[in-house]
Amino acid sequence: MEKLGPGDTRRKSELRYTLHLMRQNPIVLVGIVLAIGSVVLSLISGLIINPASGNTQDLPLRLCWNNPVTDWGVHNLFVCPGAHVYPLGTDAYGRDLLGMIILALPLDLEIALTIVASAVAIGVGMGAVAAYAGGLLDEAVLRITDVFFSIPGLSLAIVLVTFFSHSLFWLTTAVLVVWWPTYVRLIRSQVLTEKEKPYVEALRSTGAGRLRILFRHIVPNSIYPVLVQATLDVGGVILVFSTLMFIGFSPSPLLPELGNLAHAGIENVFIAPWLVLFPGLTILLIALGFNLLGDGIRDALDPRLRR
Amino acid sequence: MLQQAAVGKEVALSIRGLKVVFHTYAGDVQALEGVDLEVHRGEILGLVGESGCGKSVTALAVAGLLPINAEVTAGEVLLDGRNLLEMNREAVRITRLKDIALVFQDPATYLNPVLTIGLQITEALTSDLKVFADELIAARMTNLQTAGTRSPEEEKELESLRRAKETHELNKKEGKRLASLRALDYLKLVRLSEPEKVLGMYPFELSGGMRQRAMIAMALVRRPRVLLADEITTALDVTVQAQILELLKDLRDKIDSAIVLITHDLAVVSEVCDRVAVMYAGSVVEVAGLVEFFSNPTHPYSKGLGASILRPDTNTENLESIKGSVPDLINPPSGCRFHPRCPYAFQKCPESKPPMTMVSPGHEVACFLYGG
Amino acid sequence: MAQYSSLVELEDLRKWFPIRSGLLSRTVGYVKAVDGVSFKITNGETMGLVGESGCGKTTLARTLLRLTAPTGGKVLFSGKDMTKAKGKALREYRRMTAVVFQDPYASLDPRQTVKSAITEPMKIHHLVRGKDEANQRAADLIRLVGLNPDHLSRYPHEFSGGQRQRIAIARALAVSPEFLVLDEPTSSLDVSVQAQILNLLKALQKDLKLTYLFISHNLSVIRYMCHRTAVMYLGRVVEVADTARIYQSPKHPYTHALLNSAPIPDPAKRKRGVVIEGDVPSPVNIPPGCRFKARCPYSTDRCAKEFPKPVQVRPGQWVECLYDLDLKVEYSPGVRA
Repeated sequence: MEKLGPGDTRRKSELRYTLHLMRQNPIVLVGIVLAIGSVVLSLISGLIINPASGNTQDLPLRLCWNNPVTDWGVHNLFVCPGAHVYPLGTDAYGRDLLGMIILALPLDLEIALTIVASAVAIGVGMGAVAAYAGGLLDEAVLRITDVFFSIPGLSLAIVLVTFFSHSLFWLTTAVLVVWWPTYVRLIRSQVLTEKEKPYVEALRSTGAGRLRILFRHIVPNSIYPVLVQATLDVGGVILVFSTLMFIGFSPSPLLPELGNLAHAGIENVFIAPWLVLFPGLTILLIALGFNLLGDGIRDALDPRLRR
Repeated sequence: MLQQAAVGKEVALSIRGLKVVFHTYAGDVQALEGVDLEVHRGEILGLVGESGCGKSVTALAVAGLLPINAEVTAGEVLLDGRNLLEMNREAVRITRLKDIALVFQDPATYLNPVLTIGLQITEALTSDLKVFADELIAARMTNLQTAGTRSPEEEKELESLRRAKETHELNKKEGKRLASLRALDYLKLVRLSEPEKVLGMYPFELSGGMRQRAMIAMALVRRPRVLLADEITTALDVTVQAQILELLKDLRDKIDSAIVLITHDLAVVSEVCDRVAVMYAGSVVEVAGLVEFFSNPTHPYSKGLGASILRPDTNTENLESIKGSVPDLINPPSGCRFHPRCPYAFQKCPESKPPMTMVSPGHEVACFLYGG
Repeated sequence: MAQYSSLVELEDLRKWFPIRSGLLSRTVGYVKAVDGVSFKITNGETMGLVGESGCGKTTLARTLLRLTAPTGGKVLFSGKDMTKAKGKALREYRRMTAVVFQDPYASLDPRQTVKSAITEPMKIHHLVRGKDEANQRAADLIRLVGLNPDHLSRYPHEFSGGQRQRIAIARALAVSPEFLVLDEPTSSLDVSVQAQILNLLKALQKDLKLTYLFISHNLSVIRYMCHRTAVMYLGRVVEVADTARIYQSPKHPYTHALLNSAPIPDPAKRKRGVVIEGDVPSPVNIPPGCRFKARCPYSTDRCAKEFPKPVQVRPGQWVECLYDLDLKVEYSPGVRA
C-alpha cells in the first residue's frame, strides 16, 4: 500500500503562497477593504437608514450645508437651519446626502452584480460552446462579438435606453448587452487551449459526451481569467451605469442612486459642490476597490509570476 | 571522504561534502545532503539516479546555475584546486565560460530559435575574446602549420597570427573569423554532415539528433575541463540515441575533458561509461568501475535498481521493484535516507548518514553493512 | 491456416491528415500518419507496438479507438465493424475499450477528485445504481491497483507519477473493459516505479482476462510485456511476429537496426557499432517503393521502385520486405574487467 506522495505538502503550500502574495501587496489590501467594505455597508444599509426617507422631500432644507469642517469657499453658502448636522450636506430635495449615499449602495451593487453575473453566464455559455465546437459556429460567434466590440459601449447603451425606456430593467439590459462579448473572448481562448490537453482525450475515451466534457471539465479549468475579469468589471459596470443616470437617463429623479444623486448636482455645482463630489467619490472608491481586488487576484493566480 | 583516483588519471573536478537546500513555501527542501564525487580527466563518469536524487542539482551547482532560492550550505567544488563556490561572480563567469560546459536534455528549448547555429556556437568565444584569444590563435596556427602547402593568403595570415600571438590581442573581426573556423572544426568533430551549411542554419531546420550534436559542439568548442551532459539522450529515439552514444565514445578518446553523463538509464551507462556513481535522495551511495558495478552492485539501492531493469536481449523472469517510493526531501528520513525502503536495514541505519567505505580498490559504498 | 479468435482486427487502416495551404485553404497534400495497417489481436494477449517518433503508433491507437475518424480501412471489434459506428454502438465500443496515456500528470482532470474520476465512466454508461454502489466499486478498484481507499477524496496533484498512473488504470478498469490500449504508460516514470506498474498490468491481465495493445519505443519493456510485437515505420507495420522470434531473428532490416541500437545494461555486451545513419523521417513526403530504403543497409535498386507487400513467413508472422533476409542481432565484446 502506498503512502501519500509529496503532493500533500504541495497543496498546503499553494494556499499559503497565494495568501502570502496577496498579503505582500498592500495595495491589494486596500482594494479588499474597499470592496468588502462597500458590500457590507450595502447589506446593513436598510438597518442604518430608514429606506422611506428616500421618498420624503423637505424643500426648505434643499442644498444646505452645515458641517463645520469646511465652507467650500462658496460665496453664499446656504447653511442648514436647525441643530441637526448633515455630515455631507443635503441634496436637491432636502434629503440627508450621507443617508442617500448609503441607501444607494445596495442598489448600485445589486445592479452591478446582476449585470456582471448575467454577462458571465451568457458570454461563457456562448464562448465555451463555440470554442469547443469550432468551425462555422466558432466563426459566427467571433464575428458577432466583433460587431459588438466595434460599437462604442456607452453610445449603444444610450440608444437602447432611448429606444425602449428609462426603467431600471432597460438600463440594466442596455449595459448587459454592451458587456457580455468580453467574456466570450476570454473563455474562448482558455477553452481552445484546454481542449487539446490529454485529460480531455482521456475523457472522450471513457465515452463522456461533449456537453459533459465541456461544462463539467473544461469550463471549470478555464474559469480563472473570467473570475478575475468579472471582479474588475464590477467597478467598471458601476461607472457606466451611474454615468447613464448622471447624464439623465434615470427612471425617477428621487431614486437614490449614486449617478442620479450627482445628476441633480450638475446644475447647482457652484452653490452646492458637495452634491456632485460625494456621490462621485463614492463611485470612485467602489470602482477602485474592485479594480484593485481583481488585480490582486490576477497577480496571485498568474502562474508566471509565481515562484 | 575522498575517493581513490584511478591509477594514472588526474582529477579534474572534485566535489566534497556538497549540501544544497532549496527554500520554498512548502518548506526547506534538503536537495543535496553531502555529495562526494571525483571526476578524472579523459573519462566518462556515469551519474545515475532516479528523479529527485539530486543529479541535476549537482550539475547546476558545479556550473553555478542554481536558482535564486537555492542555498549551498556546506561543501566545496574544486576545479584544479580552486573552490568554485568561493570565487567572486566575475571569476565564476569566466570559469563557466572556459572550464565547465553543460549540455541539456532538450536541445529544442535550449537553443535560441532566432539565431543561427554558427552564431550560437561562436557567441561564447567572441563574447569575451580576451579569454579565448590565445587559444584561437594557437589552434589556427597549428592548423596552418600542419597543412602540407600554404597559399599566399594563408602565409599572410600566419604572419599576422604570429604578431597577434606576441601581443595576445585579437581584433573583433579577426576574432569572429577564427571563432567561425573553430566552430566548423567542432561541427566536423561531432560528425554533422555538411557542417558549412549547418553554420548558417537555424535550429528549426535541424532534426533532434542534429540539434543535440550542435549542442555538444557548442559545449566542446570552448575546450572545457569538465563537460556535464544532463540526460542528453533521454528525449531521443533509440536509433538516434545510439548515434549520440557512439559519438560520445569517440569524443572521449579525442578530447581531453572529463565528461559526466547524467542519466537514469543504466543501459546507457553500460554503453559508454568508464565509472559509475549512483545517487539516492541527495547523496552518492556507490561509486565503482563499470564492470565492477554491474557484476558486484553492493549498495541495497543499487541491487534494487539492478533487479528492476529490463533488457532487450534476454527474457526477464522476475522483475522486482523497490518497495516504497522516493522520500519527501522536505522531511527526509533520518540517517541513511534509504533505510525505510531497505530490506537489510538495521538499527544503526536511521541514526546517522553512513560514510563511504571501500569495498575494493576503486569501489566505494555508503552503507553500514560494509563498515562505517 | 489456423483460425484465431481475434478480439481486435485492423484491415488496411489509414489515417491521413490534410495539409492545407493558401488563401482558400486548399489541400495540397497529406500527412499519411497511418497508411495501411493490418493485424489481429487475439483475446487475452498483449500485442506490442514499437517504433520511433513519427512512425504513427499513437495515431494508430487513436484511430483504432475511434478518437479520430479513420480515413480508410476497417476496425473490427469482436467481429463487429466499428469503423463508422455512431451513437449507441459507439458508446458501447467505448465501454468495452479503455486507454491509459503516457503522461500521468496531464491525463487526469486536475480539478476532479480521484473518486469522481473513477466513478464518472460508470455513471456515463449507467453501470451502477446510486452513489453507494459507485463508491463501493471505486474503493474496490483503487485497492485493486494498490492504493488506499482514503486516497479517493484527494486531487491528482497530491500524488506522485506512479500513483497517478495507478489511478489512470483504475479509471480505465471502471467500466470493466475487455480491451486496453496502453500508450507508453511507463515512459515518464522512474525505473523502479516502472517495474511496479508493469507487474501490476501483468497481474490485472491474468485476473481480469484483459487484452492489451502495448505501445512503446522501449524495446526492453516490449520484450517483457508482450506476447507478439508489431514494428511500425512511417505509417506501416513492417514486421509482426511472436516477440521471442522477432527479438532473436528479425526479418526486417529496420527491426534489426532497432535491436542493434538498443543499449544493453551489461558491460560485456555492447552494441554493434552504428548500423543505420540519418534521422527518423517525417510522414509528409513518402517516397515510392520501400519506405525504409534510404536508411537500409541492404537496399537495392528494386527497393526504390517496388513496394514491398506483406509476406507471410509463417502463421502469425508477416514482414514487408522484398528480400528474405536472415538477420542476427549481434553484440561486440564490450568491456572486460
